[in-house]
Amino acid sequence: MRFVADLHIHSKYSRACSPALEPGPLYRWSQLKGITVLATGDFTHPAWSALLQEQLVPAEPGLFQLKPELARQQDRDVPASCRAAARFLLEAEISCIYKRDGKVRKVHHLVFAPSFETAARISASLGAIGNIRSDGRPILGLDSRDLLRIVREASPEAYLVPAHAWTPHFAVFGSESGFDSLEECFGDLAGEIFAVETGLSSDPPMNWRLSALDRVALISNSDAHSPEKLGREANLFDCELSYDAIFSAIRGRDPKRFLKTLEFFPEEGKYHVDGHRKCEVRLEPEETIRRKGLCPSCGRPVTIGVLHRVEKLADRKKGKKPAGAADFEHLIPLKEILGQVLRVGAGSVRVDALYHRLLARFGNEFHILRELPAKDLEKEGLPLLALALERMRKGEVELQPGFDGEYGVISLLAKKDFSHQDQLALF
Amino acid sequence: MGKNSEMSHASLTNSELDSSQRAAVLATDGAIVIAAGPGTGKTRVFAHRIAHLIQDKGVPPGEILAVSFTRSAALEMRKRIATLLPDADLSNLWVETCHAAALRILHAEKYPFPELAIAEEEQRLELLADIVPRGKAKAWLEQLRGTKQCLEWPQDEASQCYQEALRRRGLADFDDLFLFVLQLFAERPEILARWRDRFRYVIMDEFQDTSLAHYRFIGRLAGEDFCVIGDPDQSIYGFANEGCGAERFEPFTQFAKDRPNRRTLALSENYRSQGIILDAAQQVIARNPARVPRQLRARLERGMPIDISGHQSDRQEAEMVVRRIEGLLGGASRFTVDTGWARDEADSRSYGLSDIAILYRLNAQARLFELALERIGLPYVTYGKKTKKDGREVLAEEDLEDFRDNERAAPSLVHPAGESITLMTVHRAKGLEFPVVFLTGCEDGILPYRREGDDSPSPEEERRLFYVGMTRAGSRLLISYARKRFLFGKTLALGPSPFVADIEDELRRLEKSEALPRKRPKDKQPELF
Ligand SMILES: [Zn+2]
Ligand SMILES: [Zn+2]
Repeated sequence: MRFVADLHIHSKYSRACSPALEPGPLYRWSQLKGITVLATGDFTHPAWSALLQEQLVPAEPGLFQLKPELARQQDRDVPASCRAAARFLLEAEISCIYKRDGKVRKVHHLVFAPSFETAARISASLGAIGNIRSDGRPILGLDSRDLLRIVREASPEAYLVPAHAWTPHFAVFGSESGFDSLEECFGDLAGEIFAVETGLSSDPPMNWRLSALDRVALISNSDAHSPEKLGREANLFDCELSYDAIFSAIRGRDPKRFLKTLEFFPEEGKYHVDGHRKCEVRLEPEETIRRKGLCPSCGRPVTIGVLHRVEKLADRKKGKKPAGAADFEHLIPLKEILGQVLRVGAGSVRVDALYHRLLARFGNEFHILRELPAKDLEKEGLPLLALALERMRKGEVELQPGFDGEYGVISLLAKKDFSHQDQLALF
Repeated sequence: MGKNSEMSHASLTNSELDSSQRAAVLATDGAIVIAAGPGTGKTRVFAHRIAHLIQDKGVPPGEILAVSFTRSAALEMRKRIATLLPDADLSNLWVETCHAAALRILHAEKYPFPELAIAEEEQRLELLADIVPRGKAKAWLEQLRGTKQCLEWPQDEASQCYQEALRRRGLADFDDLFLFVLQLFAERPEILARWRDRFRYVIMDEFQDTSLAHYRFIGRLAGEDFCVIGDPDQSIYGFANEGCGAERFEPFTQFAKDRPNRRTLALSENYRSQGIILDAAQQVIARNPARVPRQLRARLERGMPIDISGHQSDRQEAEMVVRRIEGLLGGASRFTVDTGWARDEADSRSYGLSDIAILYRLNAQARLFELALERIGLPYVTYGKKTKKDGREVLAEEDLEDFRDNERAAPSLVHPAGESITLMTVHRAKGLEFPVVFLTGCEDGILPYRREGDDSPSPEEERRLFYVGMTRAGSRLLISYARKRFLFGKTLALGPSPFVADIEDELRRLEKSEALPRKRPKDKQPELF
């Protein structure tokens, strides 16, 4: 079957995360978003693990579902148009901070487990090394290679995937504290790495420029810190619904089973180009190089963005797609589009009301973004939204790239699109 | 040495020794004092001296006795020597702590009985069960230890019963080792002569903290060629020698008396601390009266000024320290980076967990830092005993014993699996270095520490302790104090440590607008305890 999977999120036990990140709401939001398999996040956290074990029951092999009585409660708030099966998959993110070759390394990794028993084994090993009780995404002074070894020793079906691989501060290829290759990071165990999470600031074509990555699959996930952000990036599979089938599709890099990733426009990510947020300075990589990496405003080194970093490690020109690579599709979260259509903030009450109205009328968010014929929206009296969606699907967007932690801005509509008063009146 | 120093020695040319280090390595004959300030490459010189003796002078390794302060230091030294001499057979080389050396000699001589073993704490208490009332056993043992450390056998009946009970089981207390070995040397001069003959070269590290018993033992064993390495400014275990005789034992003074022909060489190039930290540390130590003036030169450029911050309470101090750590780590989490407050704008360097140490005067101060680090989830290791079973603070004396002789209570300094932030007393940080040091609880009454009554530690020694704390730091030193502190069941309101005021304004950076008074009037001593 075809389904969407989001394999990296956080729970309410992670720092700076929404208290709404609990199994019930996650189940409900999976349906609103159109996600069939959602990562649990944070399985190393004792309280979260206990809550998961209390509220979930086994479903297909390696997957879990909300207990029926809890699911029924949540379903009351899910419009019939969106109701669907929703599964959980055990996942956690570990922040490794350590020194290697005299440099400080800070690298985040995703860890996946097929069962609570395996998850408990991993947690026990990590708990012996550091504090996994305080933060859902624990900080450990552990070398990435050692983490990989612990994960692989816990079970042949436990896997490690480097998270948001290009984020400057916390990633395997990060400019500030990462490495230049998987081999440099994982040493003799690098062969165990079969996938890399591209993160919000990079998309597959950027990663395709490194021939060293040809052998790994590129996956995309939301890294959501609140339920509304679920699925802002995700993966589309066509395979059996099970833990093993998902990972064998990823490992096998089989474009018939791992179809595509659903992506942010990478320019929208917080670290796409270079710059200084405090100085409000945004630099394209060529400009940064010309300025010898220094901020024209304060004179200190700018934060190097993902584009720059990719450019540095790339050994190939743009445009080549390696054999076996999954396809991709650029999307913009529906609420952002609605915000542009209504010319109000994406977090406003008006956007929220229209969002839920659309979901009730047409189905889940991914369906609306990806599949709903524009004509249907016109018929519904939403021609501007139809126009915006069509432009997004064709990639006709105007981009102001993100930098140094500042999200980029993507414009689908221009001033002239709003010239017809009758259209505006509709909202 | 003249001619010899011109020779080309593999062990020397392969390494870059500066001229004073080289001189200290090559001066192998006679009584030598190597005065080694902090960060001047003392351990290197120590290892190279031994390598030089073996490789260049052809001294058989078995003729060298190298004495280290702790077990881990001994292990580390052995490794360094082995690295310098990859082809040498070092199995007969003795690199030991004082206790281990004494025990080895006693074992070899089967004295006072074969297979002498050290009594465990539980065994000692068990033996005492019939001798001393249960509740008093520990205090009684502490007193006994005091007597033995002055190299006197206790004379009272209870003690003699206890020693007899130990003997029957083939056991000895730690402190008995030196009494036994010195007794052996006195009774059997031919045995002493044999050992003396064997160890033609004796080298002793951390000499400033040598106790009376250690000195008597090693001093007896050492012949002509006896080298001691240490720094009088870093003598922080003087209290261990208190109470023996009328005159206080001071190792360097005693050495000068015993070996009037000694030569003194100084290592004066500091490779550890950036210039500002070293300057500030020297401003502080220079105020110790009766100090022989010495000047250290910084080999590193001047870096960031010293951060000095005052806080409303000990709790707030701990929170702020942890926040600064997050900044120095370049933001431990994405949250702290994205919200902007974590990045230390002035310091472009990024530090790792193992680069950072939080130092304090008393083990009891560790708790608030642990709690604050727990909350954030940053990994840390606390070294040293915090409190005894009965809840009292472990005294530095006892911590030292454990540290020097057993190192059982503390995890080894290389954490087996993961890196972490280090929490330890300034005493325990002796000999270590960290790029970033938080010297905390710098209050008048904590550092310098003062107890109720007369038995406060000597102010000079407390100043040296502060100096040791400062000179652990490589590139960042952050000093903090709290206006209110809850300690041992009392709330204290102490002013900043007078040592802080001895650091020149140009070398410091005050956080916020909390200016420190340059000098506190003498008559306004705060109420203590
Ligand atoms: Zn992450
Ligand atoms: Zn700037």
